[in-house]
Amino acid sequence: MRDSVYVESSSRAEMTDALRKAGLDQSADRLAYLQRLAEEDPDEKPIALESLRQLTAFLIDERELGEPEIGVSPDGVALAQWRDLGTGILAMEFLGSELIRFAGTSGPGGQNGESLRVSGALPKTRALQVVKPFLS
Amino acid sequence: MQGDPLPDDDHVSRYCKPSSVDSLGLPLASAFQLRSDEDSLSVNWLESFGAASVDDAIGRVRAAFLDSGFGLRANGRFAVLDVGAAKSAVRAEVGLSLRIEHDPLPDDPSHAGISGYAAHDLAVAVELAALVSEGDVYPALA
Repeated sequence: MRDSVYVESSSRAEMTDALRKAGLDQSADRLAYLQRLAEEDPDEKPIALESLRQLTAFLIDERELGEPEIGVSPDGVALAQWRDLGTGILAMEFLGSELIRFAGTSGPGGQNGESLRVSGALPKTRALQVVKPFLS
Repeated sequence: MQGDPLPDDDHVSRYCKPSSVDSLGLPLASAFQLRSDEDSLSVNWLESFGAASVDDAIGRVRAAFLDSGFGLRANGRFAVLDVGAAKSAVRAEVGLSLRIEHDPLPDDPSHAGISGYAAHDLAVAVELAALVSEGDVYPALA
């Protein structure tokens, strides 16, 4: 059984445990921090459960991508972000369905002098193909 | 005055909540995302204070937030954007024309708004976040 199948029916605490079991302690710590913020500060939004499940399954299944920075959109959607290309940024939003919304930019100055940009919303496999230049 | 576009050479600051600050203290793209019921991103026009430095202007923004009862958090940050660079990057890379306009509030005359994009325009938020480097980030609390 793949870890993500387990995640589909998990509570927030069980998802954190699944991340730790997969060696993704940084992500587990960050999600616990975000949850604490949402409980303590009315200006902070909790990540919607379906979005959190999709993010957790993604992190476990695609752990070779490395642990991203994790945030939450103003509407409660989980966001993962990589900032690995100097000024470049890749962000993915986990919409709680099959779809991942993504946007990447090589930022000011570009990557190797070339400007690179992607954006869209696709199922995971297709999204990963499109954003590959930002994750290699 | 309400609705006046800010000069391209000027700067705005965006308060980034702790959840939208990464482990390096830089804003995540989520710091520049709109809620689905918002049509502009709240920022503060730094040159409106006539302060001698960005540091001083951010100090005035902090005071404005606290005076209006908004709770700033220790792990929050203010990210400073160059008005012209923000509009230019989004126009070139995303093809949208942002409007960055003065929107003074009774208890915050420096308040301004960034509009011309929607909650689902993640690409705009990513472009704005990519413009911010370490030197453009200030602690939310002095």
